[in-house]
Amino acid sequence: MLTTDNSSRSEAPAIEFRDLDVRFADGTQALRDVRLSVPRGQFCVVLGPSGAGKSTLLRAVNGLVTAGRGRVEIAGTELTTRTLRTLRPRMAMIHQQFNLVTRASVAANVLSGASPAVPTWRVLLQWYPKHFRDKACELLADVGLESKHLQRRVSTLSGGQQQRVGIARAFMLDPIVMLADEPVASLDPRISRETLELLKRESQQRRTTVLCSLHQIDLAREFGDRIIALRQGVVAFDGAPGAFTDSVVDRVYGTDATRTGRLTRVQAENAGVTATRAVVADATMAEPRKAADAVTTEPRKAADAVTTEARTGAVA
Amino acid sequence: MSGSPAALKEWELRPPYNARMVIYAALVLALLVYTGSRVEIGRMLHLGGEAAMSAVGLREESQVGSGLTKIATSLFPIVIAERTPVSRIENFDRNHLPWLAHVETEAHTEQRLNPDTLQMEERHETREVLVEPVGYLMHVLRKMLETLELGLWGTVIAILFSVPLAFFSARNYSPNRATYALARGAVSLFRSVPELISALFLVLAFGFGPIAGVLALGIHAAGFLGKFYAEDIENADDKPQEAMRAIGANKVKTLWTAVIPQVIPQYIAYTLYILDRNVRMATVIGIVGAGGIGQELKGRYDIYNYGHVGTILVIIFLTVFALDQISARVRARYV
Repeated sequence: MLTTDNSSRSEAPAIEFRDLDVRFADGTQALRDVRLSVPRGQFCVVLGPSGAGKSTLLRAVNGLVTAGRGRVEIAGTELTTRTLRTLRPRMAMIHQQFNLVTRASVAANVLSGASPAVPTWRVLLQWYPKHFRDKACELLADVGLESKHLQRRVSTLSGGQQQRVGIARAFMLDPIVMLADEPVASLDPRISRETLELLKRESQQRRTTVLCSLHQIDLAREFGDRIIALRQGVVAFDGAPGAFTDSVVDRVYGTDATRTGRLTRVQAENAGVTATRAVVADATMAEPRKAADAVTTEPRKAADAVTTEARTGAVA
Repeated sequence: MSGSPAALKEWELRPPYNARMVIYAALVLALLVYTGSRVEIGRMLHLGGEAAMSAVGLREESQVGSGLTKIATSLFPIVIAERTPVSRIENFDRNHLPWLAHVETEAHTEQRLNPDTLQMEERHETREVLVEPVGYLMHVLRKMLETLELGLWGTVIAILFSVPLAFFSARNYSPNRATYALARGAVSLFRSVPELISALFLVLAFGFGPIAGVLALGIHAAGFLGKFYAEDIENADDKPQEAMRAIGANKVKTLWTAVIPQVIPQYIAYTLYILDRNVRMATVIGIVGAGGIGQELKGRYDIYNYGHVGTILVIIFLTVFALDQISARVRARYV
């Protein structure tokens, strides 16, 4: 499966997790034995209850968290402290809280997405090359903003518009991998759907590989080419959306899936779940390890079978 | 209402203070009483009360009251005109007098020792003086402009010094521990030396004049600005910075695109405050010979020209007041 000769190097999967373990400084095991391969151009949705390790999985891809054991490969290149500098500009990230500079203009925020590829003095003068300025305008038009928004402060925009700016910023350097960390968690249902439609359209046009964590199961089924579900840091399901049945949902989200699912969604919206660590700690305290292992190893076997199908099917 | 007492106990809301806080309050009070007696707060209240009573006619006189009266009568009326004896002006040209000026003849009495009789004699002379009705005012205004320039350049130098200092003394942007410690040390050092003291030494190094003043103001303010700029960098919202880190932007780019836009309003506020402070300090710094209106103030004070001192104080007050208004307006617009 793994090809090593250079001619087919570009055909290496966009993201490859090899036995990835992530452990936080406080000892919490956030990810365990993650073995996944995401082919080019796939729209991959990551599901799981709060604290299951969705954010950690995404952040392991661009090195915002470091692997304890195992490794991550981006288009065939292993992610290390040395390759981080060159790999990071080839990946982009969309954040739950948008992570824009709200006092700065829309234009400045979108252009900042190109800053890794621009000399420092140009960034200091805010004098980006012409092709980047044109690209920023193009992208802003693509995501459905108007030219009158260009010089407006981000703080004057609505949440949906802000996330559009975030998406435009993320596509500035034509990334091969797009990491969307709960991109619609702070948006209302209608805007959520529109935003995901936009993200899917833009990434399909550019054949960008997307790893998108979500809380909404219905949206995951609708938009995902493939669904990866995490439970307590372990891959509990990996397969086509069609195979993500309600009984799988029960297994992933616990015994009373609908209730916990809604609860966590409300919590996420209220508290803006970024403090994954605290939640992970809570989850492990509430449920002893052994019980968790029993739940997670079972669906794994079933899921593996589906995965291979999904892998071959989704690329075609 | 009908809940059990146990359930109510669980839900009790206590007042936000307790016995420990009362003890702390008592300790603070004791400290204030002790230190207050050492700085003669009691005597101040006593003398102040006396002055207030004499002012409303309940007392014959008071030390403070008479002192204040003496100050007021010596400072006012303020001196606006400049009178210069014609004999002291080189190349005096009667046909080309300065603006608004005219020549007056004044009687002049002088006590003189007659070398023949060894007696003091009064000699009556007349002499011509050039009177410039607003001459001294103009002179003070020119000095004030010089002072404003001192303050402005003190601020410019402070900004130039403090920007790199702030970068290196912000914990999350300093390249390593050594640069952080070094920059923090420099910031503290700059801030710990008062302008008046550093000006004293800088006058020795650079000689009398504005160079020493500008540097003294700049160095002190650089310490102040460096500290405050750095603290704002440290406290800036991390989310936009994380977005920049995620795509691999270096520290300078991250700082410039994700931090500076957030902190610009505070930076403007600090810088305006420093400008204001520098102008006020620039009026004082001349006392040790570092240029500006302070030099004039000290000179006049030393030769008992209290009327002239009055003019200078009025101009300083008006300038500081105007500056306050302007900076309040700028702040309202940009902050």
